[in-house]
Amino acid sequence: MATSRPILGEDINKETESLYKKQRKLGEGTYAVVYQGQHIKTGRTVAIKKIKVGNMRSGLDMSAIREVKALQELRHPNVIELIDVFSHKTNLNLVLEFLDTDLEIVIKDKSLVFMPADIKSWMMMALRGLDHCHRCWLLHRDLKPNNLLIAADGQLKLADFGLAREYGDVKRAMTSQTVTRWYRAPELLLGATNYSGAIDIWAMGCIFAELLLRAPYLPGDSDLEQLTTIFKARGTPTEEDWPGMTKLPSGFKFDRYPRPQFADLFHGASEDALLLMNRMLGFNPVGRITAAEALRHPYFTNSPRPTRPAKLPRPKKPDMVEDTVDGGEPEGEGAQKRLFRDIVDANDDDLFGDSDIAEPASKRADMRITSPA
Amino acid sequence: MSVLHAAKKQDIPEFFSKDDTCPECRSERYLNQSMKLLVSPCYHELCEACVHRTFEAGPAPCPVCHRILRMNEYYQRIFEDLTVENEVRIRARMAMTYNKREGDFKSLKDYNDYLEMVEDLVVRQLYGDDTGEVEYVIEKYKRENNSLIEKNQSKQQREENLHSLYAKEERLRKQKQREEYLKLLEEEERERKDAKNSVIDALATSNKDAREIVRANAVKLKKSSLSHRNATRKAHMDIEALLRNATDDSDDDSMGQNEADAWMVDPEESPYEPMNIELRDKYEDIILRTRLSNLSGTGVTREMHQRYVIEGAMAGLFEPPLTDNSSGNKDAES
Repeated sequence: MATSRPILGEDINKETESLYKKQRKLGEGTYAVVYQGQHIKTGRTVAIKKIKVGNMRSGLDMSAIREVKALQELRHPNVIELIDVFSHKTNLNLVLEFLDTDLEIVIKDKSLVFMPADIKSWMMMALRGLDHCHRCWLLHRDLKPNNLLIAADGQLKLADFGLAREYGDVKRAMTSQTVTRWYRAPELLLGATNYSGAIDIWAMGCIFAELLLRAPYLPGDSDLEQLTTIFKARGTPTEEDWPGMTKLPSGFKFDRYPRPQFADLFHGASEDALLLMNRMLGFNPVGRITAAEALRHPYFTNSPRPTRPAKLPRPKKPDMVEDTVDGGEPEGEGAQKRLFRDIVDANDDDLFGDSDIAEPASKRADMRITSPA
Repeated sequence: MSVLHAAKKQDIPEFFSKDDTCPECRSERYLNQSMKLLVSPCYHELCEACVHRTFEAGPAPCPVCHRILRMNEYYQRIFEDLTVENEVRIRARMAMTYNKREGDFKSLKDYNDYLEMVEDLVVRQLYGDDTGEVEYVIEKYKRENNSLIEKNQSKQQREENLHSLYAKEERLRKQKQREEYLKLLEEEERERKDAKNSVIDALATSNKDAREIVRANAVKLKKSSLSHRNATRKAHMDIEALLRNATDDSDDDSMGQNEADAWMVDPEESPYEPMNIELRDKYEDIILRTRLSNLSGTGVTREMHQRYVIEGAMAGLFEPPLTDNSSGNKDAES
C-alpha cells in the first residue's frame, strides 16, 4: 500500500476483482456471459455475469446500467442479491447470488406434482419480492416464470432486472414495448406511455394461472394477437370495466367476446385462489390488486398453509461435470447452463439488443472460450 | 331417461365436429359456423334449415329412408356415435314405461327376471328386425300395468324435485357464507380507512408534535389491524370448517399436507418498515390534473404520483448512517 498516494477507484476495483475467481462458463448470450465463480475467502458460490461492453457501438448497454441501478437499491430475501460489481479491462462484471433453477424449469418438469400449498408458497414469495420492488418505486417489467429463480433452500427470488425502471413520476414518458408478450398487461398493449405497478401484477396473475395450468395462460402469437387472446380468455372489457380504456393510444373498437367462467378452466383451484387471480387479472389497472393488498388476501392465510420453501418440489439435478476449472465446456445442456442462457437471452430485447451480432449461442461458445481471469 | 333429461337441464353440449355436412343442402360447418345438425328417429342427419323447409307444411318423408316424420321428432344429438345415441334413446323410452322398482317385487329373483326381460326387449329393438312385435309387447305391457306405471312416475318426479331442492339449498347456503366473509373483509378495510382519517383529524386539530401523533397512530394502527386480521382469519377458518363438515371431506384441499410442511408465516412479513405517509385527500394541483387527464386508463393515479414525490423527498432522512460496506463478506459468513 502506497502511503502517500490517495486510494483511487482503480485500486478498489482491483481489490474487488481479486476477491472472486471464475470457475466455469454457465451460458452465453449476445449481451453477457455468465460464469460460475467463487468468493475466495469464504468459498461461497456466486454467479458472475460478464457484460460485453466492447461489442456495443454506442457505449455501455442500457440494461446493464438498469440492472446495476435497480439491484443496488434492493435487498430482500425474495430478490436476487447483487454482491459486487467490478470491471476487467473493458468488461463490466456483476457478481450475483448463485441460484440453482428457475420456475419455468419447475413448471415444465412434468414429473413434479404441485400441491395447492406449493403454488401458494411460490406466489407468496414472488409477491413479497415484488411488493418490495414496488415499495422502492421500481417496476420489474419482465416478470415471467423464467425470471423467477429458485435458490438451493427453495426460496424464490426475482431476477433479471435488465428492464427494471423507476416509476411514479407522471412527467416522464415510459415505453410500452416492454415485458415478454405473454405476460404483457393490456394497458401496455394499448400503448400506455406511463403506467404503474399494475403491469407487474398482471404478469404475476399470468404466472399464477400458469402454475395452476402447467401451461402458459395467454400465449398470443403476435402483439395484436395477444390482445385478442386476452379478450377471449377474460372477455372484452367495456369503458365501464376499464374507465379511460378508449382514450389510450390504440384503444379503439375490438371484437366483443363474452367473459368465460374462470372455474371452467381451473378445475382444481380453490375458490379463494380464483378470487385472487381474478383481482390480479382485472382490466382496470387502478382497480387491479396491488402486491401489498394481494399479500393481505385471505388466500395466503387460509388452509392449506403455504409449503415451507425447503419442502417445495424441485427438479432433480442434471448430471453435471463437477469442478471443471479452466473453461472446460460441460457436455450437453444442463439445466443450469440453459437457465443462465435464458437469463442472458432475455436481455436481447429489440430495444437494446444488437441484432447484427446475434448468432446461435452454442456456435459462438465454441469459437470464443474465454479463459477465466 | 336421465341422460337426455340431464342434457336438457344442465346444458351438456350437443355433439358436433368440424367436418359436419348436411346430406340435403350440402352446407358445411367450415362455411357455416352456426349450422345445427339434427337427427331424426330413424337416425339420419339433417341441418336445422332443411328440417324447417321440409317439414314446415306437416309430416313428410325422411330424405334418406323415406320414413314419414314430423318436425318435432328431430332432436340434437349428444353422442358422436349414432348407435350409442340410438341405444340411449331406446333405453330412455323403455325406462319411462318399465319403471318398476325392487320394492314392487316379492323376491330379488323376480326383480332380476324382470330386468332380464327389459334388457331383452332393448336388445331386440337395437339389433333385431322384428320391431313391430316388440312394439306390440310394449303396448300390451303399458295397458296392463297402467296404474303402477303412473304411480312410479309420480314417485320419481317427487324424488327429483326433492333432489333439486336440496341442491338449491346447498348452493344458497354456500353463497351466504361467502357473502358474510366478504362483508368481514370490507369491514376491515373500512376500519383501516377510519384510522387513517382519525390521524388526519388529530393532525389538523391538536397542537402536539406532528411526528409524535403519526408515530402513536402508526403503532395503534398496526395493533388493531393485526388483531383484526387474526379475527378475520379465525372467522374464515370457522366457515371453512363448516363447509368441510357439510361437503364431506373427500375433496378437502388441505389433505396431504402434514404439519411439518406448512410454512407458518405472515405473508406480509417484511424486513423493512414501510414509510407511513398519509396523503391529504383534498390537495389539488392543476398542472398535475391536466397531465393525469391524459393518462386515464393507464393505472397512473394522483395518489401514486404524490406519494412518489413525498417518499422521494423523505427517503433515508431518518436512517442511521451506513457503517459497514463489505456486505458481500458479511452475508457469506452468516
